[in-house]
Amino acid sequence: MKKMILEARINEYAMRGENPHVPWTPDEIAESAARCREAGASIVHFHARKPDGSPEHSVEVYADIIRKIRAKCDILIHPTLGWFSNDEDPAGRTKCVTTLAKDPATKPDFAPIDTGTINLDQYDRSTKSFSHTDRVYKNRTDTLELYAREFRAAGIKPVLVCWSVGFVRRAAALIEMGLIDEPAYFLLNMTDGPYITGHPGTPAGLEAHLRFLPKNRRLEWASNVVGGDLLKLTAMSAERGGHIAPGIGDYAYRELGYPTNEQVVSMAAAGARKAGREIASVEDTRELLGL
Amino acid sequence: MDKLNMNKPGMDKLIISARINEYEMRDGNPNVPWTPGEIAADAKACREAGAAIVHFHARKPDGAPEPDPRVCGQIIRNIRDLTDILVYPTLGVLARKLPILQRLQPVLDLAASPATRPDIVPLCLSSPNWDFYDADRQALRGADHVYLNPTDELIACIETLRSTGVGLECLSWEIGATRRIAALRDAAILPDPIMVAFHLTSGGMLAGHPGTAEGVETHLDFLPDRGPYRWAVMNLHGSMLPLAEAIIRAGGHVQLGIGDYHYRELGAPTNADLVREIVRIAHACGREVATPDEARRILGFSSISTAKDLIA
Repeated sequence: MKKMILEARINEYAMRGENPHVPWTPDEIAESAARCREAGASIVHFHARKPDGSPEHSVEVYADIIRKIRAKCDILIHPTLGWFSNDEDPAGRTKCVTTLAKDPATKPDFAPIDTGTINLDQYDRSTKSFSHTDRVYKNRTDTLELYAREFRAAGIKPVLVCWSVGFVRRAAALIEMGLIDEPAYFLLNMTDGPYITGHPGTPAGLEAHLRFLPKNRRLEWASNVVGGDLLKLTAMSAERGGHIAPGIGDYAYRELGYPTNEQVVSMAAAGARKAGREIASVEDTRELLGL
Repeated sequence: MDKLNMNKPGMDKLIISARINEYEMRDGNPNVPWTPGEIAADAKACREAGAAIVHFHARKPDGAPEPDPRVCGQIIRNIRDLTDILVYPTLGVLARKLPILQRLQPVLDLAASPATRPDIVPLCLSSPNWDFYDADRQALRGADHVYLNPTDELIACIETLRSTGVGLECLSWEIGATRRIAALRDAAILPDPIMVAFHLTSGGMLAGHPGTAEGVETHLDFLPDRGPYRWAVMNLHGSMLPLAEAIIRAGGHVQLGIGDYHYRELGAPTNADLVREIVRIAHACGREVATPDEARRILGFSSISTAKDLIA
């Protein structure tokens, strides 16, 4: 069995009201990345944050974070494009990562392409009320083509983030068009808790993605669950030849007493080994994903 | 043998919806109806063949989209002069770049009079990219277009329609849309029963599940607690015929027509030909086909006056 890649999703735009260990500052992010690396993660996905936790989009802060991570460890680097907080100017969204890519010291290894558009509303079952109902995360298809070309020119590996079957089909079309190099790297992004947008973080939800992955293409996939416990899907992801992307950015893990990122990565690594998969080193991950 | 396992107690009669024209031209199939007279005659033929609902788009004499709601009203009157089929106009895919409440206005105007009130209108519960992949040219078409349906506008739409007597069909292109429908039900925004139409996409259209058995099953896996839900399947730009038997046996309803797909492999069928084929499959499975009145009861629509009552 091939080795299993662990990608740590350390902060997203999570606040600290629930889990106080969410890293925000460049130093905190670098420290969390290094500890996740020790626990077995070979990729770190992070969002730059302002001191109050709100989204930060400046190139300088991203450069600072990447330098600080690389001063501490060899983990592969996957910054966000800013998610829904930065989708108003589609052509400008990639400016930060393509600028970072001009300097080898700050060049990201990966950047995400969410291959479609979604309503990002939330539903609270206890109060039976919706929130964020005006929030649509827009990813026009022509901008996806643009990102794929820009990332290739910048030497950045795209992560094809899929929220639905249509996203998987569109990602497959981008590969078919020759815009994405093989092996392609898919992130099958499920949602639970208040997040009703994606497939649920269950075996059925994961299976519903896997059925539609292009069979004639070389690809690797990882699973994650926004708002839910990915550890429950570790064994299935391992057995089906996939990888996983755990972290407290996606879910606070209240039932585990609000662990740190490295604790969650350690648990995922233990789950992977139990299912018969060794953990991929940074070199293994480079090889598996064709970096 | 399969027949013996069929028609579990309580399985509703099959509702067939004819999707007769969309914005299709006639080069692929000359039978696409455009004028109010053609649409009404086609609706009558579909009703006689076994359809309970007709879904149509108003067209200009040259086939171009007709945005004037008065024409839509004329079509509805023409249909009701000829037949009791349930009338299901579009919310205006044509106008899909407008905010939903603006798209809804023509429906509200039509609903003001019982003679032109639509029986049912669609609502799309997600915001898909409306793109097509052309495998021959290895290129994407429609790549600049997102069909925006923000949840706040969807909720406003549902609440606005509630007092009009117009029924609602919830289109699900993706699993998240089905989950949104379930949440809207849980929040008592969508009343029972709820009609969920799974909107498969074929022919290079990427946003939905593919028009395969797997595409259907993968939707059904996420439709909770069938009790309050009715479900149907359509396949935009693909054939429904290979899927119909499994859907009919599983208790689903079938929506098809030459508006969605030209069915050139059958020659150039009419909409009524396709409806007859579904009726044949249903009868072979031992499932009965619903009349418009039966469909109204199955879908929980309030009983409004039919055209005949109005005329009398």
